[in-house]
Amino acid sequence: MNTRKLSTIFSKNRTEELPDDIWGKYVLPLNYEEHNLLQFTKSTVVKGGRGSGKTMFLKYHCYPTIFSPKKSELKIDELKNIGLYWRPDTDFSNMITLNYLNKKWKAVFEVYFGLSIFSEFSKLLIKFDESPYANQKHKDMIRELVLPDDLCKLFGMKEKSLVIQLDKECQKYRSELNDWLNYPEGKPPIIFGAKEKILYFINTIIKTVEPFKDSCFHIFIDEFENLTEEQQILINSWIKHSQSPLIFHIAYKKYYEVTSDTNSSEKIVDVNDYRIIDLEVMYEENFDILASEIILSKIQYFFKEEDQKYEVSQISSFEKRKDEKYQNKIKNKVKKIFPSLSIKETTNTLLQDKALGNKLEKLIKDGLKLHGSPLDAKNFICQEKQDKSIINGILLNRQKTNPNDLLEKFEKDDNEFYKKYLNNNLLGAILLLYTSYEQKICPYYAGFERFTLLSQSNIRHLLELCYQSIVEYEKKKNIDMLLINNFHIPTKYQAQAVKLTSKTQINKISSLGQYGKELQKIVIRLGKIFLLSQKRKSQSMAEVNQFTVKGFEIDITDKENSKLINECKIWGILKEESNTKKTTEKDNATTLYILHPIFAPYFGISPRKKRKIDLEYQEFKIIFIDKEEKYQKLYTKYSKAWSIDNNKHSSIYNTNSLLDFM
Amino acid sequence: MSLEVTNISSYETLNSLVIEKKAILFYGETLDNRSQDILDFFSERTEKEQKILYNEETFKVQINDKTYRNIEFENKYIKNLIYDLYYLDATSLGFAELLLILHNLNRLHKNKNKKIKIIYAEPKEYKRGENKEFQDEFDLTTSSGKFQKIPPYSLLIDSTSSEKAILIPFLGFENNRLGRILESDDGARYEKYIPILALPAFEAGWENISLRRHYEELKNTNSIRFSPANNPYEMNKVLDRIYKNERNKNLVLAPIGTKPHAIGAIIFLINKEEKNIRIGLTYDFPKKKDNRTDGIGNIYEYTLKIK
Repeated sequence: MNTRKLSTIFSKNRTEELPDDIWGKYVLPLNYEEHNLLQFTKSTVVKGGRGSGKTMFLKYHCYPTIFSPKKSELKIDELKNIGLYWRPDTDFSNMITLNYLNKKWKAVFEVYFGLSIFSEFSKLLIKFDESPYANQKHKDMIRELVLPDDLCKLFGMKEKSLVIQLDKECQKYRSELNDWLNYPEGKPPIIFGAKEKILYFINTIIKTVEPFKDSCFHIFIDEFENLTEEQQILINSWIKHSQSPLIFHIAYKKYYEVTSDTNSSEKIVDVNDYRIIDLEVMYEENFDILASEIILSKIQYFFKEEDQKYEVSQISSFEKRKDEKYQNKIKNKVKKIFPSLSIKETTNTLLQDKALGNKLEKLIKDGLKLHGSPLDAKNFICQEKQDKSIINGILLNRQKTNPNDLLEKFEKDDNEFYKKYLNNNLLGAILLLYTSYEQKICPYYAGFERFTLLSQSNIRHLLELCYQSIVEYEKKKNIDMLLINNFHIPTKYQAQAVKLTSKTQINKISSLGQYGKELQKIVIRLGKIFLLSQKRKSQSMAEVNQFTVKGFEIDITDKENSKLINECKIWGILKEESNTKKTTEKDNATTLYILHPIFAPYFGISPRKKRKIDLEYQEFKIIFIDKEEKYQKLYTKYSKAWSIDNNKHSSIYNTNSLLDFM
Repeated sequence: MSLEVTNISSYETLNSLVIEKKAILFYGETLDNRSQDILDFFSERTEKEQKILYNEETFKVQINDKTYRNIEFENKYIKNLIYDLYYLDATSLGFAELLLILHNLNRLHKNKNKKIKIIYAEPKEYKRGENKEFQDEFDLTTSSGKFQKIPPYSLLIDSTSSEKAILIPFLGFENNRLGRILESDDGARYEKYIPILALPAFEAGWENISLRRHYEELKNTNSIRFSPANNPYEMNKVLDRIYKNERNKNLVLAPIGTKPHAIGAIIFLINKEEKNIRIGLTYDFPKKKDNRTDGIGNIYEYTLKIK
């Protein structure tokens, strides 16, 4: 009997969230070999958005994972490049500034960094002892490795102290440094130049023992964006002169503006001084395969899996993982667990629902009324031609349509005529009908393929969608002792989960950075306008979820808007692309902004990248920064222009939807 | 030696308060009419009123046109203020100002049985927010600052620390304040969190708003604690109990709830610091909205004694 619930495997558990040893857990992207941090002979800047798995990626390259006892062996080759991870306490480092400490800040920051890294080195040797490295003699040598007298003296340790004891000493000094920072009078408890002392330590101690003779040590500094400018400058200077055996790498949120200054007049420059790894770009390629493996490797221990163990962390398994047959197999396996409906099947589900069927009839009637046509709406609906029946609903609401001509084409089942509309308008029309009922959730959002579309290479979103789907299913059924081959989550549970996840993500926006509340407002305002467009009966502009701003480039100097746009990009709320699909000749906007698809299900709009709305600059400003009254006017303007029935569309927004959570 | 709450009184109007003359009032930014009313009331009755502001960017305290680093604050300023009684208007003073004033008064008057009175006026009503879907029912702040430590209450917890900490957030109305801590932490510093809810709340039912607002943040925790919204004495006790239960663990307080809760936290922090027990603190220095509340509700007078 499996006492653990499947959902717990996907839930966020704080203590297990970020273990240091991620061997067997981290799914190595298939294009990893181009991005192997440890093969680089100079610094790297790792950029990634929220949920892009930045920390996991860095930790994969660090000693707790490299030395993992879960590995069957540790080869000497793997010791050539070893990473050490350091994520500063940025609330703490914010005190180590010119403002608070005057000129002493630099010495104190170096000590903070240095003590942390020495502590890591000491732990590295302890972990090495627990590693599957075969040569016991080497391990004995390392356990007994002694600090030179000058370092013993520096750290106030007895002569001939062991390197593995250094961690304890460094922790003591870190604590004293903390106390000193609380009352920063006189000298700090210890002073040394970090980079010089670490290099000295590597060259005169670590490299004297056999296994590390040829080692190069890579220090990964996470959360670089949250260090102060003067601290960034200091680290940039280390990056500028990084070389074996000590290389500095930094990681920060994509789109964050960090300084490239150094202590000298030179700046650090891309290509010359460092390489950039953009994790989103790395994951985008083959994201469906990566996503399949992430899901399967997580659930492999839950189910009785007869034929497959997923070995996802080792480079040696690439050959197998790159095999097309294997890839198709795993994708199909996940698609079976999270099945989806094609648009045609979605159409069928829609028409089996009586209320939605009535809505279609009403839509057709409205259309016929528009043309003053006496035809019977029922003639435009046929169970054998469900998709075309739905298309009729929107075509009849277009001025140019002649109901008699349309009926003739419908009766003739004119595939040629309907083809274009089925391709361009069917999903929009389906969503239009679903938006009439807040409680009905369009099943189009369900399924593994839709999850990858909704999450857009964001692993956190992907896992959340899986987690919620399993939770919804577990509420109804026990998932227990099943074979994976028999297991699948019906689309209705998935669709409910998707909507809930989408809502949760909108709710969470207010927690994203200093401008979270503003960003949340922007998403709600944009989403509501896109929903208005989605409610247009004619669907002449289907699936709008993007916008451009007319003449926006001219006003880029508008600091408040630029700042908010950038925050939207940093937190992955809007994606920026170049505006290649011009809507009209007058469309001179160069930049296109796409609302992240994870928010689409909450509003009931399309997650597919389809069409855009061209906002006037003033309208854009209203959405981004103006007061609610101005926005309401804009909203009303659009609802009038698009002839949206006002009473109905606004009702779901007048209540506090958060009440639904309780 | 310790700082203790010895009396809690509640009044309906300011005029019911009996004010001692040889006293000083510390106050902060007067953003709404209740803080202004308190200042006006005291101006007619006390010997001196002093505005105190803390700048989290420079870590300095501003008094008139002078600024003091926190280590200078006691020796160069507080030391020269000899009064029978110190009044602190917690309505207008921010968390950091209250902490630093009390911390330094406590150091100055150790073992002297000195009295401090903290005044806090509840608002009659909070202003409602304009966006009802996801925004707060009560719209209290315009923007949030960075989460920062306030020396001398810093506690270092990073990836190199041998142990993570337990976060103790106090729940107010604005969930994004706790949300931001958890979002930016992402499991790096805090292994778990023990939220404290104001219960009973200032008004019956407000606890539900607070709970509902924090649904996302609370759904994975089962260790919620309660303390009355208006009672710093109880809050100090609740924190002490958590401290005893979680022996040897690093605790970090996030006083983002009610003001009396924050006062309770300050008493706890000061008493622990005196015993060389490090308790951490993280605070976001929200920019409060002008006129964010209407009118004066209950007025509380907390009497503290430095023993």
